[in-house]
Amino acid sequence: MKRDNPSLYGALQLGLLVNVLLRAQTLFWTREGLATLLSGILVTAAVGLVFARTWPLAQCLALRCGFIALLLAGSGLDILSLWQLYSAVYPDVVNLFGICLTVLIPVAYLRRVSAIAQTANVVLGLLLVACVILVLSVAERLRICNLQMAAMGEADCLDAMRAQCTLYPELLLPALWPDHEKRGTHTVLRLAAFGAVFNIGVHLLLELFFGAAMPDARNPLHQAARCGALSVFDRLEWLQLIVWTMAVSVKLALHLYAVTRLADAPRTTENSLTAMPFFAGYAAVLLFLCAVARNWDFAVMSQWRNVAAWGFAAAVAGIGGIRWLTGFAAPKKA
Amino acid sequence: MADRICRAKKSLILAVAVLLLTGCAGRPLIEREIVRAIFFAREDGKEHAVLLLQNQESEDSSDYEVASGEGDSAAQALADAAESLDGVMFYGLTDLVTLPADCDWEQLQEFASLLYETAQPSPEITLFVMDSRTRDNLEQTAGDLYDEMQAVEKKYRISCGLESVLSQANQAILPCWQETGYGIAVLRAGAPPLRYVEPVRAQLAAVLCGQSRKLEFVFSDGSISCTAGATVLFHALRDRTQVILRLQDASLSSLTQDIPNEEQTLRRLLSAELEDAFAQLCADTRAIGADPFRLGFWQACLQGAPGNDLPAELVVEYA
Repeated sequence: MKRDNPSLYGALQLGLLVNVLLRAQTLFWTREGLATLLSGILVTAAVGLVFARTWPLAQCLALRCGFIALLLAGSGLDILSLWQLYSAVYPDVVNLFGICLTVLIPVAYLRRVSAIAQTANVVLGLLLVACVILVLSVAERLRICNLQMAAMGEADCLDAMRAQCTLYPELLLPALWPDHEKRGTHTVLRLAAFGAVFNIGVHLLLELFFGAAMPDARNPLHQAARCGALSVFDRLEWLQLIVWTMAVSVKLALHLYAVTRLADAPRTTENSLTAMPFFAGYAAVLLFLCAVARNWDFAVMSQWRNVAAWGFAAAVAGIGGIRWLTGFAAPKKA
Repeated sequence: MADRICRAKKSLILAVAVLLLTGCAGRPLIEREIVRAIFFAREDGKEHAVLLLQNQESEDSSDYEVASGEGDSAAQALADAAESLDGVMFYGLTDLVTLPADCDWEQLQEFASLLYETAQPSPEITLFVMDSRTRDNLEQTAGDLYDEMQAVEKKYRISCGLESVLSQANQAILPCWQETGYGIAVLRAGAPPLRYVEPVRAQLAAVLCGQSRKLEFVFSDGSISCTAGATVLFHALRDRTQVILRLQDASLSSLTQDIPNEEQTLRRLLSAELEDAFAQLCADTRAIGADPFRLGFWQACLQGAPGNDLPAELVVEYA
């Protein structure tokens, strides 16, 4: 049974972690983040739950296309954020095409749901080990007195709230899964809480490391990893980069699976392979998107992605709500 | 099946064609100029940047080349220096930057912004405030200076990376380059910088703000030498802040006949010297509104209020 319907919870978790790990700059101070943590979790979880309820009622061709566009934009942003990290670390060595191939080729082997689930769990375990190593390697440089004492300002709290209310596609994806077993119990709530707590944890680590300079640091987590040393290893950022790259591949595979579901791609059983031409098309679209958007402002693109996700969720909630009120019967398929 | 493979091939060919047309192939791997250190200087109202570059044609890793530039700002000077070179600049291995001798807090912020933009991501860059030597002198001595600074950093276990120097909002402590050992500059926003060239105060300040873990100096008019590892503990009490300096493996020896080579006597003299230095540091830094040792932070954490006016005392312990 489990082989037929493997849980994708690990892959969703990994997708949320990638958003935090590849962030080029920090978004808020830890104290403000802690103050707004609960409200952030509640808002994002509520949106995810409403979306999961209303999606079966609201889905239509236009909304499916909208969701596909949102996922493709999200995948493109992930590749671009990985590229900007690599190009900052190894300027003029790794190009965008190389990065695209590095993360997209493994997706060809992750076209089965069970493969995504298993790989996600393994990568999640590796990521956990890498995070522990990161903390241990920089432990000597973490200073409690680096925590900022300035009085909490309204603007800072708003920034923290805005950052924690970012609506990532991973919070909307459980609505697509065909049955409850794949979603797990309280999947959306657990995902929202997990993502927010991890985000705060990373910000805490970075504030202990950078202190007041935290907002100015570019690719702060990688910078911290670069300073770390453990025993005979002076630099351990390569370990982080390898695991992060693997995590992006799993996230792309998850998005590909979601796109196939939205596009009604032919599949004999739930765990059957996504067709190779479909994967090739997905890869080609992503390559094209990355090539077009390579010089666009990354922060602005991320903001627009968030606005689009909120707009999309609101549209689905609105249409689904109207149909629920008017007694519209949901179709059988997800 | 054959139809599917054919479609896959077509899709891949299309993808490659799109990439080639949209210029996604990136730049080829080209020769780079590996910058090991940047020396900033200010002379006749102009900013100067001297770059120490790895000589890639030499098999000896300590063989360097020098490039320099000037401009109205440090950024212009750096760009001018880069323009004089053929290859693409690579700052990923830069681990030392020196700032002009008269650098204050505001200028430090400008240099930090410049470094974050150009030399990122290299937070391990060690910062030193330079002595007042000219650009010509820097060009001639850059290689030796770099090696000497590395040696001092290792000897005194100094950790003054970009991230630790900028970790406080309105103040910073920076080591100053001296021919022997290092001094310390305390920079505070809107205040003139304080500079300590005397080894006891400089090294004590570095230890108390977490930038060093070793004391090695000669004190009492050059009559006693001291070498010790040092750790610091802060106790915030209601009426004062107690700073406990724990010295490990302390090695004290008298260098003259006037002072007996007795451990207890030497320790007592060292404690008195360190307490005097601490009192002076506290008085000076308070006068410019700085709190480089974060005494206010510990008071706020443990007593609920910063207590900036509370006295601070140094307690020296020997492990």
